[in-house]
Amino acid sequence: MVGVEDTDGAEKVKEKKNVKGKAVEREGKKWDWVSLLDAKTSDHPAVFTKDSRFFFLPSGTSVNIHSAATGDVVSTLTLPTPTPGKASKHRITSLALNPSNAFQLLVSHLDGSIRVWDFLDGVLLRTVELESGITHMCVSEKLKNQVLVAVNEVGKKKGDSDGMSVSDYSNRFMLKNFPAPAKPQYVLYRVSLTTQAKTYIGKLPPASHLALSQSAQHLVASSGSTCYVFTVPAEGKASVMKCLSTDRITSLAFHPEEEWFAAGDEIGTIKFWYCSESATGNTAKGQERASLPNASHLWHAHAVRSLSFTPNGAYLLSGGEEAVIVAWQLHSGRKEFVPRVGGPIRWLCVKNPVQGGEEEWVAGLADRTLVWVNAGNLKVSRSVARVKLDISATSSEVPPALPLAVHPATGNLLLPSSHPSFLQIYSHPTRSLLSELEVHPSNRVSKRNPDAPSLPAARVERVCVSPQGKWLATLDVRRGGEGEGIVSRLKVWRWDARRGAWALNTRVESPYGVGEVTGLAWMPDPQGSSSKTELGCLLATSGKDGLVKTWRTRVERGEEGEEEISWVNRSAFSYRAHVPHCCAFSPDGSLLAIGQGPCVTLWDPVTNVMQRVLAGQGAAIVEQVEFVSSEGRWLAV
Amino acid sequence: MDEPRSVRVHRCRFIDWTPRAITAIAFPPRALPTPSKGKQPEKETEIKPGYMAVGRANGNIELYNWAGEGAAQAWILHATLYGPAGSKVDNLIFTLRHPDSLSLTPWDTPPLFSLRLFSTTSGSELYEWSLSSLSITRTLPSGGGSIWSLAANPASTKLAMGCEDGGVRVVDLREGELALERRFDRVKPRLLSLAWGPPVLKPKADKRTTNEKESDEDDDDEDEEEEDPWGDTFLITGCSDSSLRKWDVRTGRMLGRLTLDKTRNEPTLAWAVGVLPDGTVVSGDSMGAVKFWDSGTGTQLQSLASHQADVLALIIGPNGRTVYTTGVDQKITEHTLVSLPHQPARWVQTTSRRLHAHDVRALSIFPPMLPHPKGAVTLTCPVLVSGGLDLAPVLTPAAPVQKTDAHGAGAVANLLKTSKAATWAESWHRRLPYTRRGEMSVLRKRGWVVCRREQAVGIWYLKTVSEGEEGGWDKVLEMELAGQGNLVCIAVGEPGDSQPAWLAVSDGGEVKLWQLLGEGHPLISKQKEDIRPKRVKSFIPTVVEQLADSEGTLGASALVFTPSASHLLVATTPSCQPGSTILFLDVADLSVVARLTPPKSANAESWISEIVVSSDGHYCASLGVAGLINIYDLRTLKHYATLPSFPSHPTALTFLPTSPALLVIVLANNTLHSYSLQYRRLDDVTKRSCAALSARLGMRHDPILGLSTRSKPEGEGEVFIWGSSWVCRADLMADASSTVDEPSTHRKRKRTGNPDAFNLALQSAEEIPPLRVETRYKYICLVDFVGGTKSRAEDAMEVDEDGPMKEAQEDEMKEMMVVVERPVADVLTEGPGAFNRKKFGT
Repeated sequence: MVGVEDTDGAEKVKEKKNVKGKAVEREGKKWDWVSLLDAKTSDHPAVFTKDSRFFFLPSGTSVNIHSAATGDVVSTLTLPTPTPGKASKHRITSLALNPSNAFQLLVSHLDGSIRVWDFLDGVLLRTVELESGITHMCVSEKLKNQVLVAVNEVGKKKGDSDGMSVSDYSNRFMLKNFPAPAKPQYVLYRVSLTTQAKTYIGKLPPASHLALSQSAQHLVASSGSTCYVFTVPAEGKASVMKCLSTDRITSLAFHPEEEWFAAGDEIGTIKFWYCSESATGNTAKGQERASLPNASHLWHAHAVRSLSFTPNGAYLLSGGEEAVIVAWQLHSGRKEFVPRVGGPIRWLCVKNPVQGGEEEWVAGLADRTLVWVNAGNLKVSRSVARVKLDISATSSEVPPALPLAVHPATGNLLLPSSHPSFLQIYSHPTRSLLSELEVHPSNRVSKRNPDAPSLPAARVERVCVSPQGKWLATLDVRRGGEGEGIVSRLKVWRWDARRGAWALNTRVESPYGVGEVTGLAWMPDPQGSSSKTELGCLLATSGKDGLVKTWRTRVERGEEGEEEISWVNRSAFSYRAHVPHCCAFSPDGSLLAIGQGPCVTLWDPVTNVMQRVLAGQGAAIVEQVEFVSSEGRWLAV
Repeated sequence: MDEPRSVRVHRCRFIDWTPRAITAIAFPPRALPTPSKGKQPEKETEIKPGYMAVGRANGNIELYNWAGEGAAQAWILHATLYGPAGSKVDNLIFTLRHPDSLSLTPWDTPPLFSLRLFSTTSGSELYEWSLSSLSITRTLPSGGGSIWSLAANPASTKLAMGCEDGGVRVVDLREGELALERRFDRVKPRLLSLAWGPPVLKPKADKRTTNEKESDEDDDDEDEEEEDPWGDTFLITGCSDSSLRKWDVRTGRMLGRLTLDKTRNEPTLAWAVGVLPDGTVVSGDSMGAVKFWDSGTGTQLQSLASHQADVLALIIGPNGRTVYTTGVDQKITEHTLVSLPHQPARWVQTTSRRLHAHDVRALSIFPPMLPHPKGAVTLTCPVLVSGGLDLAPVLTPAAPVQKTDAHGAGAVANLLKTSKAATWAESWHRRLPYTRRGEMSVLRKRGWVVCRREQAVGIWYLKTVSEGEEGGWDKVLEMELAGQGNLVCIAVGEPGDSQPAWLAVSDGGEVKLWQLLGEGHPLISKQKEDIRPKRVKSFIPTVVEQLADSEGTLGASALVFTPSASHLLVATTPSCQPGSTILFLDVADLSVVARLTPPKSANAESWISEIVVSSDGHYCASLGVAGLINIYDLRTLKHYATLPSFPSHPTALTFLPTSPALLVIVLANNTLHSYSLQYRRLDDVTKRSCAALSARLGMRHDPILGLSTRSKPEGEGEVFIWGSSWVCRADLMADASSTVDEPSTHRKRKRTGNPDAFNLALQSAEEIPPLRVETRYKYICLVDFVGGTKSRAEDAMEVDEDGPMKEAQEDEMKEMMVVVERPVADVLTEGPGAFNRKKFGT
């Protein structure tokens, strides 16, 4: 799906991600930030070049050119004048190779423009401007220099039509504006790339998918549970038929050779609709509610997210939340499966064989991983992980705390991963995902049915790296579940420099009982940084029950005399009945500041003596406390 | 005592009446268009649904009739044709009696008299049934062992039988004949299925063209000369050696062999074949594959793996553009011919639905396919009928996908009115009930339920239902009867003061009478469970002796005892002498008191399907299968009245007990009518409530199976109406009487706490409250009442109530309603298991 709607939640997530970028690039006063990844994974399938050596993926407002061999980004086609504030307006909605020139890429944007790129040179050749946002674009070999687009004409005023220079459809244009403007509706146009003239085809309610048959005779747009089949003659009027289905259509694909299409819906059914001549021929005026011959096939238990035909038309590939690619052999009705591709599938496409190689199927997963599947042996041949996006976070709810930390020893970034109980380790200089850290082991099971609430998973809520980078403290919390309250675990990991990985050192089950942990902080080392002194460093946690605990190392001699270090509780203290919300150490490690209710208390971490209470103004609750620079001034938010 | 508005219910599920699986379904064929004589071609019109025949595994054939214009009940059981004992209907074929008659166009629904019905059992004989006398009129031995398959040619002039010896035999049907015409060359394998190729117009002699403009008379003459304008092309047999064979009808030679896939050792069985109007052959085999063949070249066009197990049945849609297949995997699969632009048309497996719980054996479609290009049906919504081991025929609308305008107009209306959608993929199906009246009856005074089986009678004793408890029961008798045919009817006579209960049973050819000694009879033990049936062996000889024109046989199509059990009424079958007469017999001395015949003996051949006697024994009414109702006065022994014919076919009759001069008639479209015997016309008093009831019940999909009344009804016109899935109480006299309903029946039920004491609102005419229909019972075979009779002998009663009966003081067995259910799941558990597939997630 090429998303057009930007919900508030998605925006928020995006902002948070942007914060990460900011953390990396703190240079100068006006911080320029780079978004590591889009807030939403694009559902647009990859578009391969003719020689299958490269493929294109949309990324926000730019197009990434990936190498088909490695999956790495080799180049990016970026808009010449990026306006970051209005990025969402320029979002790419569709990509396609120019049918008349295989070295040109057509990119449609939400701002209503189609840009023609020469992707070999990375040059923007031409921009075709339409007056409203393009949501879908289709091309066909049969229609040289033409594209079919779906345009969102919501909120359009009548007056705008005056500015139109296209003559031959103005009458119809008036007609189109006739219905109530409150009702958003999409209009299909045929746009010529050379003359920039557009021809009206038809209109329909907001569509989610658009597909064009190989012969360019039929155009299908799905809206809700209905497919609108437009019979598009080379000249003249198009006729439309409504094909009603029972459930919301989630994917659509036209057969590469024949005049029929497959539509997958929310409940997992794939329906084949045959645009048979008897049903579509010589239709009368107006919208007809015809039922085309159709056949339904059921394997998926969840929505069918993606459908793709192999170029020879022998197989249909389908994928969805089950993380299984199903290959439907069309002439026999047999099915073959590629199970466990790694995550919910968002898009599928087929890479033509290159020079004696085999055909490969490429699946884009919901966590932005690309998976190559060898079509010959139905095995996952390789998968390329990109920076992952939490797929479980729905746009409506933002998790209470996002784990984010910088590992000073390597300069890597610890980010939440696609699964809430995982952390991913990202290296920004190379822009690559290094590894993933499974903080809490968990099963990856898809839901029983689409309506069921997703299973509660342990979510890594806080992560904190000790200033020396030797230790990592994580806090994973599982909320909900059957009748249980909150189960939280504090884990301390030790950096294994030789292996370059984190190893679990200590696990503290429910450090605060059923209460929540509200803060986590490492005490910076006192000056001398020998390995001995590192053992003396402290970890402070604060909990909902009012206690602030500090943790220390305990060294035990094993049987063979080697040191076994573990973390134990050292002390617990509280101040009045205030609930601590956050904690922070001063840069020199001499002070521990705890935001407790409206005031901030300062403690000596070694002796646990309270130094001072700083009362805040009003009843505002201190939510975050941080020492800024080394002087010891702090900032409470 | 009982609350006035609640009824004690004895819900019985223990009676192991076994309805039998459906093995064949047939619709009358459509007449081929007459070769046009220069006239304008016939215009397509809507086809009205007519008869449907359903063959069962016990040899009985059920004849269904369409309930009427716009009726919600679809096909209603019209009559049952009782087969020979121990047989099973294997094939069932309707043909037209006069296929070359000009009066029938492809768009006409042939009436019953112009149809012939043929069936084969697993034996070697071909039966022809008379549809008026409901009996086998002709038998044709195949001469080649048992008949495996049967098919009639499209012109209704020939039947082809695939015989055990590997030879196809062609039977000539012209002019009412039934004679073997020729035998094809024998082949080794069994001929499991048969289909005729599309007909071709025989090349006419040249004079035809010259005579074209001549008068009609000449044309008629010509028709006599060339009585058969249509010729047959070929015949396809599905064989048991993984092949189909194509035969030349003229020479009887094999033309070609189409080979199916097979596994290494096991031959594939071609269970079903069909030929499309364009000559394409369709086959369904034991590997679950549906294959399409070019009949000319014998090459396989397409093979679709549509089923996971054997394909048992196949039917071609009326337009020849759809093919439905079904079989052991319980799915019915629709295949559609899809013609895409720039592509040759091809078959696509479009929809697959699982409408059955067990093997599906038979599949048929209305209107049937007419193998002629002009026979395409576009105005009528086709209905697919399927049946199998799960007993009930399932009807599904199967309209082709079609173009409509934005409002959905222009589509053919769903004939079954199940849903707006009429296409097979989207429409809702309807299950016809398999339970029917007449399989069981009760003996009110004794509390017995008597069940008729094919060859046996079972009797159960019901214990009284006490408050808040389920009623108990005991099996008292199971009687095996060795007869020639399946039992047609039974009747039980209530015991009197001095006489035992009676049981009369008839198969097609013989009536048997038993005295059921026991329970209070002085000679036998006083054990309640002990019944000693004593056959009255002199019954047939004594009766036959008194009939001058008898041939020594006496078969009954309906039997009934008078309420006092002093007399027995026997409706004789049309095939015996005297046929279709009602004999009024005194059971004490077996003397024929009277022979009751309607005044006009025009429909003497008609089968009398039901006799009812009014509760005072004054009148009896008979219902013939043709739909005529005659009333006889049993005191004067004269014909009393013939009822006017009704818009729909009558299905049941009942006398209201307290007003004997009122006969309630149920029609096939779920409407009720009452006939006043006093005024000899339709009753005025109950007319309004009947009409109101009819309006309510007419919308119900389940047909009314019966009416029952209490022996001591509360209101004058209280009657319990029941169908296969509902019971409701109505007061037909509500208009006349001034009884005021107590509105809340729910409250009372809660207070009594008895789950089975249910309350049914009476319908009062003033405001017509919604008729309360109790739907908690399903698969109802019988609703009746036992106990509560006032005429019960006191002494007998005291003997009955042995044991610690706390209600011994209370005079008699309390009246209770008996609801006998026979759920399909219970029947299926007794049979072999169904084919089971692995399901998703297991």
